[in-house]
Amino acid sequence: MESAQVVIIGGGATGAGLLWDLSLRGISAVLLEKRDLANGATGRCHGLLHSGGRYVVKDTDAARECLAENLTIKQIAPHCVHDVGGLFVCYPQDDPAFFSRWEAACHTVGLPITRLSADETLALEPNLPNTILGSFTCPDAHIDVFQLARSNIEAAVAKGGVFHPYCEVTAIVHGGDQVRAVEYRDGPGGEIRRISCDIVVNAAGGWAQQVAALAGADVSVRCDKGTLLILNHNLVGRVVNRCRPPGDADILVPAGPVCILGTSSMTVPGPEGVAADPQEIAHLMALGQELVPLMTEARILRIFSGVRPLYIPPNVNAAGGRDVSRGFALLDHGATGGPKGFVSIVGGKLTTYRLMAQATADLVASKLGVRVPCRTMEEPLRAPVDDAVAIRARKVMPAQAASLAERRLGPALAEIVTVIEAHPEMGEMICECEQVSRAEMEFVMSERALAPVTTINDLGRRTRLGFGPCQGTFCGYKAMLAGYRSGRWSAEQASAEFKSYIEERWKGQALVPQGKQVEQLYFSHDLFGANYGFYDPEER
Amino acid sequence: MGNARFDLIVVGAGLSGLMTASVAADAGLSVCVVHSGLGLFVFGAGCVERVPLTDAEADDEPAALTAFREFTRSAGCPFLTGDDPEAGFYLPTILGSFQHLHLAPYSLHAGIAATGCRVAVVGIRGLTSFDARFVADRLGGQSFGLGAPGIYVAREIDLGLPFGTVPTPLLLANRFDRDAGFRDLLGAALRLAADKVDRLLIPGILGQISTHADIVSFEAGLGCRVGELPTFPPSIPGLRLYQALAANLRDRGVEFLGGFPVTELLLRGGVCEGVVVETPARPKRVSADAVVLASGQFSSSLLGFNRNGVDAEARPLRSAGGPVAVNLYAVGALLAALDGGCGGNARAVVSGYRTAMRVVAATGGKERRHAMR
Amino acid sequence: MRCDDVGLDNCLKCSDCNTVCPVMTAYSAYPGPKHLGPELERLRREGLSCDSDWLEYCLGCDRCSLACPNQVPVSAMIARAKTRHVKPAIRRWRDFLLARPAVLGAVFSVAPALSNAMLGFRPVRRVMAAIAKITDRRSFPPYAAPFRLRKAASSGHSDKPRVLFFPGCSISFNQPGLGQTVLAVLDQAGFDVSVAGAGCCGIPAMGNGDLAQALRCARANVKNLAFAAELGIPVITACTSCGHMLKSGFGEVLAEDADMAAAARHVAAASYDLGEFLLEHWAGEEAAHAPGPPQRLAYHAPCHQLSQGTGRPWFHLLRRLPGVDIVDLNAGCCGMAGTFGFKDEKYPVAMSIGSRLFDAIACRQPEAVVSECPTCRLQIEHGAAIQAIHPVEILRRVMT
Repeated sequence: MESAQVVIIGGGATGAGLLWDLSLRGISAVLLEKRDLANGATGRCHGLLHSGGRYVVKDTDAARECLAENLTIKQIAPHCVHDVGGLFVCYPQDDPAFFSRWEAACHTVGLPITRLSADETLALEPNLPNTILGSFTCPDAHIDVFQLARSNIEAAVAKGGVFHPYCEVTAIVHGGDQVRAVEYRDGPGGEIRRISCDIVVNAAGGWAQQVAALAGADVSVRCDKGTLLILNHNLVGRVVNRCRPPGDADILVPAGPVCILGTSSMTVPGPEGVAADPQEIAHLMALGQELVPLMTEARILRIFSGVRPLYIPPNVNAAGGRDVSRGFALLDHGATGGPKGFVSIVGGKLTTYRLMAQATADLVASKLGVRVPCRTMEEPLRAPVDDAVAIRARKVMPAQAASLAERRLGPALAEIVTVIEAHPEMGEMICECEQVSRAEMEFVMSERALAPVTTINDLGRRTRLGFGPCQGTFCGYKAMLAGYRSGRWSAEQASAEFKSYIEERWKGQALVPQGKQVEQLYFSHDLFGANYGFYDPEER
Repeated sequence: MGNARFDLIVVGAGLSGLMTASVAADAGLSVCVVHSGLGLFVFGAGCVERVPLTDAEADDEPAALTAFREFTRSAGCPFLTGDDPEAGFYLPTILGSFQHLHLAPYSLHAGIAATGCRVAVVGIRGLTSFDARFVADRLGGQSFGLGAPGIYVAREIDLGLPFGTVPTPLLLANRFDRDAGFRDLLGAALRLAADKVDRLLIPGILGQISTHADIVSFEAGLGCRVGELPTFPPSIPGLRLYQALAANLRDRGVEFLGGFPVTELLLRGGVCEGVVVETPARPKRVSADAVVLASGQFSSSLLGFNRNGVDAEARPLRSAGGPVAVNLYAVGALLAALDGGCGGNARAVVSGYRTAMRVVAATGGKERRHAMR
Repeated sequence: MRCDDVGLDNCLKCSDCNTVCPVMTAYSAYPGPKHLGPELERLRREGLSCDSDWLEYCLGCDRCSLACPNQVPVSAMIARAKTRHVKPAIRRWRDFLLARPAVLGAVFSVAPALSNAMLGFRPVRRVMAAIAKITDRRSFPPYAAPFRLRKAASSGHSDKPRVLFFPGCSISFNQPGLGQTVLAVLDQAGFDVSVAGAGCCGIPAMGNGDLAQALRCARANVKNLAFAAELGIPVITACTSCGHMLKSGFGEVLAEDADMAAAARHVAAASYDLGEFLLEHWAGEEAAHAPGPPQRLAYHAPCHQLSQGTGRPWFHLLRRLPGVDIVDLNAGCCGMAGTFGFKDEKYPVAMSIGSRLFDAIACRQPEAVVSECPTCRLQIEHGAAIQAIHPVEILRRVMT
């Protein structure tokens, strides 16, 4: 039987960060995720590395935490961060009193900001409306959430951590009042396996309540749905925040080649099956146009909804989603009458994932009697790429493909460069939109990669394959064939996987109300419908 | 344009647009095709499916298909039926599935599912968008499911492309068109791959501008029939069909104005007098006695009328009822989008034929031709 | 980034553009317009460096933009990227020269006989090929004494409608005779012609990625022609590449400057290709009465004729002339692309692209090929060894 000191449940940023933290301290840990990494809130957010500006007026503690973590993450994971900077833009329709309150609060917290005139702002961001009054710069950044989760896992695996994707926990076994083991299903429809352990950490985000119930514990999590729009290209070069109290659709983040607008906020019964409704989308679009008028013409690639797991401490009765604290809570259930060795980490936000992991790991370490201190604030998640390798990459790949591959692969770039040098045809761009080469795709699919791939979509989370304008219409087929050739899937499995992949990609696009993506969707429907008998259940 | 006035303007050069233009040109009408892009020719190969049509369309279907076969034959891209034309036949796809069809171009037709047939699916080294083993693997099982079990084996040929070349179907097709040495090399490799099989299935690469004669003579050198499988867009057999049909129409006096969108219909008093095309420098007005919209479902919104359905003559309706114009018709995928019926190539061919016949009747096609002589 | 530029969002990745790209047919490794255009444009907006030597291989023929079902300005995107492309020294200097045909023309046409002798002298060409990478496998167009307005000085008052002829570099320095023919035809068609005192249209500069020079040309020409646009005087070109610049190029080059861009749009609205103009504004009775010698001609439509969206005016004009038997070759791009075919490393690509056209000509065996574009004619004469003339020459022959 498998055993570990700690089992972590939930492969989001927090779970992955915790796996890394524990592994660094020499504590053996296994991370169980019921789907793929970053499938929950981590993979369904703006990807905004907050500077703290958003919370500066209402919650100075949260703002300070964000600012500190913002600087730390830029240090330890530069490959995940696009340090584009941010603007808090003053719109004429917003309350001018807030602008000065906000500015003052920034000074109190120590957030470095610079005031820009309207003209200076428009020179930087010509797509903003020319009615704006001015703006403030701040150190906001975009963080690639998939890379962040993947890098934490890869770093942890290199130190002995274990990651099991597609392993749903079915039971938390506790003898007496102490947790003893975790049982999980090994793959969809797979066998039940058991890992014996001393401590179980519930880092299941929106699913924390269900996981706690398996241990007979109670965690109160409110699921707050947020819907986001992905736009095809960078309409802005910096994170654009609306300088006003946090509300709907007031942040636009340039996220790599795309930009993401969000969000809404709406309480939902549970983490599963959330989807945007047309009214909500119309509302977001209307607000988005106030932010950047060009939004009316720009192409929306897809629309997706995520669930913010908001922690409601007992005896608190908060009204709306935005009123609940963005702070996190670490619950030691053993201390409050629950099973000993069962810990939940809930609430918080992406920017503070490392801090949450640190706090949890500190508690776990003290329970295990391990005295090694946390080092995640100084240990780089990934070694930098050797200059010589980067130069070799530029010789065998187009400039943009080399820089993107470097960003995604880190030191593993050397492996694919070596492959392409020997077999130049491996430099073929399988995903043209996001410039993913055949060598990279096959590397990520191979056993040598540390975070295994089960579906075509998993490949997307690691490489952005299929995340561009065509939404996998052209590259999905080649990826499927690569999986077939590698022996991962039989021909029947491969074609079934491909069909479900395409239909899943259609779902996010089907919500787009108008414009070019609808044409792209028709195009995809016609292509797959007429020739291969796929059909969209939403359409007919 | 020779004359900026025509008997008929067809907006769109997909299958329905070209079919409409052909039938109208046959009846002696002067036709201008205003288009941007190649319609859905980049998707497949113009194969005509078995789909449900409306009763009225079903009545015209035989005549429409005959006209289509005549059009494609004279354009040098003949379409074939199955042994039993009524029952249709099954052709394989690159996904290893079968499609039920009515008519298919010669170069695809060889893939027809047949009991006991030994077929080699041939991949090309380095061509990642096609995997012979995958296709063969699936076709075996799928053909069994159709009740026409065949024996499918996978083979791979190496065309000795320069080191590091990443072949795509378009690249290979361009080589096929321009390089006799490449055709010989491909032929020799396929001849070896044809050992002990009845037929070959290859990805669609037999040239963008190659003619029927080119393909027949290429095949003659192989000793067995070879069927093309259209790959992901751009599909080479589809491009070839487009080139052939467009060239044929040009030879028959049809004008093409390609590359610019139609931005406005010139509507006056319930009549469509022509269209405005957004050409550089200044918009161009092209007028005609009738206008057929074959613009597909993608860009129908450009024309700015709401989707209020069509009348029995396939004329788009105004929201208040009544046709947008008495001489404005919709065909193909646009018609399907308006009337909620099926789309696809069968609808394109039949609706194109029916609408062209209506326009001919309305504008007195034959008399016009006689008057011209 | 320009505020209004969302054209790249229209790309559905259908690859129609790649299927019509002349370079892709001839050069297997060329990544094609879809990649160099909208695909990379999206990543350029992200701030990634996407520079590539492949940009130099784009002909600027505009066929990709025309093939796009969604009006993505593919060609313009590549042209913009070209202006930021960094070239090694030799190619940079060579392209600097090739981008300035008016300068070369002014120099060589001072003493045309001497220039032609020098440019035709093999050792000189070998040195040019070795040092400047200008191919010695084709000859230069001969230079002549510059074109000037030579006609019965209609200086006095004329009640004929006025038109302004924009000659362009080729007519100005290489084919002044063609310029005279144009003047004669327009005169006979009933127009009072003046010649625009304008320089190069700037298309060679665009083709070579020389934005500064293209801007100079565009500004100078727009300023020069603005009066005509204002007075409603048609501006007429007999070169389709000049026509392409007048109608679309100036607007694209000057897009960042709102006032100049507006002026460029006015100039565009007044600009006509000669054939387009004659087809619309000339009844053609003169020709109908004058039977010419029977001729079998083949028409090659230049890429920049197609990009003007005017149909096939010259084909229709010539077809209705008595005794003219004309066929439209419809065999794609000739491959010359202005200065492209003169570059040593690009010469084989240019010839390979043209081979389809040369084959079509060989197959039809016409007495001559007619085409509006001077560099298409150079390429046809070089590759198909047949006389290639401007269609107006045919018209002139049958006009009384």
